[in-house]
Amino acid sequence: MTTLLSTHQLNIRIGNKQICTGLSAGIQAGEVWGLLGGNGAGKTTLLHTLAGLRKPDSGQILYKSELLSGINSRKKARMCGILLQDDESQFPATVMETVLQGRHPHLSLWQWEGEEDEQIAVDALIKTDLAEHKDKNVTQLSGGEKQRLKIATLLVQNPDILLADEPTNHLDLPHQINLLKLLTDRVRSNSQTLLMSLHDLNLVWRFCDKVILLYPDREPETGNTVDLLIPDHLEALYQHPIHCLDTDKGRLFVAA
Amino acid sequence: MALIAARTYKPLPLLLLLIASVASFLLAITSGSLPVSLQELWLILQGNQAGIAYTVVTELRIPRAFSAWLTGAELALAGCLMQVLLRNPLADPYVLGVSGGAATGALLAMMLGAGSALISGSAFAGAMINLMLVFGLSHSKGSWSPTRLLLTGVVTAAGWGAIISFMLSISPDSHLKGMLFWLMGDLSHAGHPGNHIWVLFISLIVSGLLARSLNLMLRGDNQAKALGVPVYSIQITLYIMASLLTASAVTQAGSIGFLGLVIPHILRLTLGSDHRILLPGSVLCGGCLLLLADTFARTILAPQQLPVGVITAFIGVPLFLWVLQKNNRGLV
Repeated sequence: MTTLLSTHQLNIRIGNKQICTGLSAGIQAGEVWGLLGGNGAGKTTLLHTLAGLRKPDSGQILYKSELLSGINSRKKARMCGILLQDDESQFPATVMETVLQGRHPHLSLWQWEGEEDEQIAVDALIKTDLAEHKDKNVTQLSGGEKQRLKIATLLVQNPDILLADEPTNHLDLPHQINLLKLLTDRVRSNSQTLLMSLHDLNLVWRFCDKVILLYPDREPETGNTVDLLIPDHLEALYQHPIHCLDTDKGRLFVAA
Repeated sequence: MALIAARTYKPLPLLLLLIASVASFLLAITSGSLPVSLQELWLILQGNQAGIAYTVVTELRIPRAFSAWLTGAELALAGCLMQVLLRNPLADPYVLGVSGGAATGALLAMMLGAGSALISGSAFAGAMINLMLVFGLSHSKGSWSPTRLLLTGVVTAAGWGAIISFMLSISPDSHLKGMLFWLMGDLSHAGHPGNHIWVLFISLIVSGLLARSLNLMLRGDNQAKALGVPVYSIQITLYIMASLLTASAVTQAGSIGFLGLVIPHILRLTLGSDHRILLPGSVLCGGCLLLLADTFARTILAPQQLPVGVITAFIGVPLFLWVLQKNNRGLV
């Protein structure tokens, strides 16, 4: 087993608020991890830090055996991709143009996207159920379609380390399941890794091998989903009682 | 899988714009108070020095046509880059105060009764002072928010505006017309383009190399970084290039409004948003439009010359509104 993404004694602070203290974790190839925490616990900040979008206050992040701080931006984008929560785009572009941008780190300075790149892009659009919208302007897409477009772009980028900030945002229930299946199957069969922040504990239970719990008042905890998704941990995590019901369809989670 | 056809790239519009540029050169060189036919022009270009037409064409019209085209091309390119840098569709080359700085420099030189070379030098110096001022004030270590840059620039520009109004109000009447013409944009003092051509050439090459990264930067800093774009260094490059292009354009022809805002948008609406097409397209289209406008400006009320900035707005406003309307109806 290769460790694709690891952290050592990672500390992150926003202003005076410590959001992550001494996080040490190693994510192996083929594993799917969930990142859990209440609003403002720092899930997004942690994911951005792991993606190299902001610097940690101390500690180390490694992609395979390389220090993140020493990897140049193009190579970094081939190793790690992130599905961001917000979308700042204000300029028109078609769905196809947008999804092709995922190939950027794979192309050299003067190179144009070739047929192979277009094929990869079209595949991703088909998988995310967007093929019919290929020539539409992105501003005309619905919230859920925009989210699927972001997932398609990440698939096209095809990094080994996939980070996803609430990938199920705006998606209807069938698309939530289908797209998480798509991502997790792909990660497992290609020996990649996926770390995603999720609010729906039922989805975490169903798709994640391991979890990172970002507690509001103590150091983060990592471990197997089966061991950590239990009432007292969850209550400490969300500062709210959570019922765990074991049924023949698996464990179900309901907020009290 | 092959059911979905691949995208097609469109070199045709660029070719058309190139042809339009050449045609507008011919129109500019042949028209004026001394009409020159294409045949005469052909002879002149081959070196036939007989007659006054030779002097008019080689010493007046050709340099002026080049200056006009170059200025328009620089403004359109600068506008396009500024819109990426500020991630704001309303940005134009002047939004960060470059033209205000240049105008302050130029008007100061005019008040002191300086000649046109000194006016140009002083305008360029004013633009550079603005470049450093805005850069210094808006940039904090390692990060640069478009909003902060925009606010700093807009407020600095307002400051220059106040200084300009002050200078206009205390200037003697004899200087006023020249100053107003300069402020509205005027090519009659533009000399030979000279080194200005290099500013455009180098900026076009550098921004062309960055074009795919620019496409990504429109989607936000984080998204661009996540796809491997070194955002911060590209922002600095864009800022410097756009400022130099604007400074060069303003130095040659005063503050010609409107082109830098409208040309990139007309092309975004017609050619799409890929900067690999958009950047050369802006250069050709901006050059062409300003050259046509300047030809009108000096012929339509001849012998009187109009400030070219007025004509660019006369042509540009209806053109832009037409494209916008047409696009609204034709959306998929």
